[in-house]
Amino acid sequence: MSDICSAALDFPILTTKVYGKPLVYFDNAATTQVPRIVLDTITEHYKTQNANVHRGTHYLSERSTMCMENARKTIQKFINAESAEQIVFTSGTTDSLNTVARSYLQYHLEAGDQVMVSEFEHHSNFVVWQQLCMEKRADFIVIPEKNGTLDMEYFLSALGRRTKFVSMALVSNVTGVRLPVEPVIRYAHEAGAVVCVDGAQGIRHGIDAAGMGCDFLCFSGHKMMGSAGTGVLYTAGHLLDQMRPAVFGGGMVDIVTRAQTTFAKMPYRLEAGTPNYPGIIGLGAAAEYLTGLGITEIAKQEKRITEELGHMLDSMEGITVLGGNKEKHSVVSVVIDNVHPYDAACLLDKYGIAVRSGSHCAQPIVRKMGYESVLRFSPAFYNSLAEVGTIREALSGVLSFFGRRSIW
Amino acid sequence: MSIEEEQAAFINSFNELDDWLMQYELLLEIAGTTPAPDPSDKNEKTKIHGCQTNAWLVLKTDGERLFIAADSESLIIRGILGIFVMLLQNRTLKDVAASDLCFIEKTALKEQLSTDRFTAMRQVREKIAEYCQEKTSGVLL
Repeated sequence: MSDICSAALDFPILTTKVYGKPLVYFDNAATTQVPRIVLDTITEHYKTQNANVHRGTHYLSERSTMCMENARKTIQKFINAESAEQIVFTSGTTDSLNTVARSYLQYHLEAGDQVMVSEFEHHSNFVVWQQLCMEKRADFIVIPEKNGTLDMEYFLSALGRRTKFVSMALVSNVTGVRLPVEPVIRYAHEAGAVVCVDGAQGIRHGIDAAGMGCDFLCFSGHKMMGSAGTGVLYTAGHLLDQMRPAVFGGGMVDIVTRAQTTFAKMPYRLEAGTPNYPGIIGLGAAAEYLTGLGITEIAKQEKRITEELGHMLDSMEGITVLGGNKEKHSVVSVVIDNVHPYDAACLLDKYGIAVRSGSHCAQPIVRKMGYESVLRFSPAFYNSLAEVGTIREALSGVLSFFGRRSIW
Repeated sequence: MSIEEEQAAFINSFNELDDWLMQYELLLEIAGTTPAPDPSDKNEKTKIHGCQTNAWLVLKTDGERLFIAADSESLIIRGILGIFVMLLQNRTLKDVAASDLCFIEKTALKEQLSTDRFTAMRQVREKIAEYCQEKTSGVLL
């Protein structure tokens, strides 16, 4: 295994040439790349151990099941959960959040109750609660952004007996700002509310689920060097018995008769049908890979690159970094005077630079900042300071190209 | 020159620019000459969905000929819309309805567009064709 400085060598895709130029991949907030060890684990599983899990007695099925359950234990350790039954595998953060809505909250929310989210949320942690509130005639409260972070004063004034549930991102996928989830959890618990944390953007810097004290934690495999189509829902121990199945099918039942069905224990109760076990096994390998590199080292390296990126972008005339002077966690979004983010992203692509433009599935916060679309740079630990320099040169090209236009 | 001949000429000249920078230069030049719709015509009905940028296509006719105005916050998207305008402006509805527009597929523009935006541009083509067919059949009736 490589150390953090040579980690790029572990990722075969990073040697790709794009339009004849070396790939500079700064779209990690959308999807991270997959290291060789994860690719090999998935390939090897298909080559030597592939069989459906849980329902077979033959050798391969046993092996496959063991590998998947080992991945569950790896993820349990990775987020410091107390037991493996707290780890439900899903298809991603969106699926995890919807599972919380359908397996838990819909049975506890009543008319007149309150559900709170922040203005920073990704649509997947916004619309699901908004829709459930509409269905249940509950109040959907959006805690506004203030000075680049959560308006705690607003949160505390809105929090009360009626607040049943709070769901919040750990890190904004637009501004990269880390939200104060720890005090939110503390105050919400004092008020008797349950708290769900969307950990999609913070997961590869390590999340201590038990230490944080959240009731639910949701994240995706494809944001932590695993394959797409994998995700995790962590449920605090005290809520395990309250989780009811939302999707029905094979593998999640105990006894089925014509009259009724009893359901399997957690976590299987929430894993109906054949799971994406090759992806899950790969996710376990990804967690081991990150642990091997060192979560602290990863966070430090990404902080170094993000700071350099932020300074570089901030120093360029005509570019505005969003989110004020708050520390950014591996995400820096900007707007460029007189250049639409889509156009900038198109030109950067031609320089081999992969970035993303748009609302990043977070229209409320993008709109709050006064935009409909922004340009997002999101580094990971395998990026380098030299690549920040490449981006700077390319951006100069973009500014000069569009600067010559007078039709705006 | 017919629509097809003008389209063929455009495809040739665009493909001759084998440098992406020059292709963008041309797109931006076209964007600069594309007539923008009246602000009052920019509404939900004329909005092109799926571009991930705000974009509008306004179709009008005097009963015989087609008049197009198009706009987008993205110059690149506006440039691509401008090619539709360049090829179809002031053409008869009948000629437009009968035309086979394939300049996106036959140039590097297809690579420029993501699947979503390619679909959006295909919808532009369909919207124009439907408009012309509708207006033409209206005249015939």
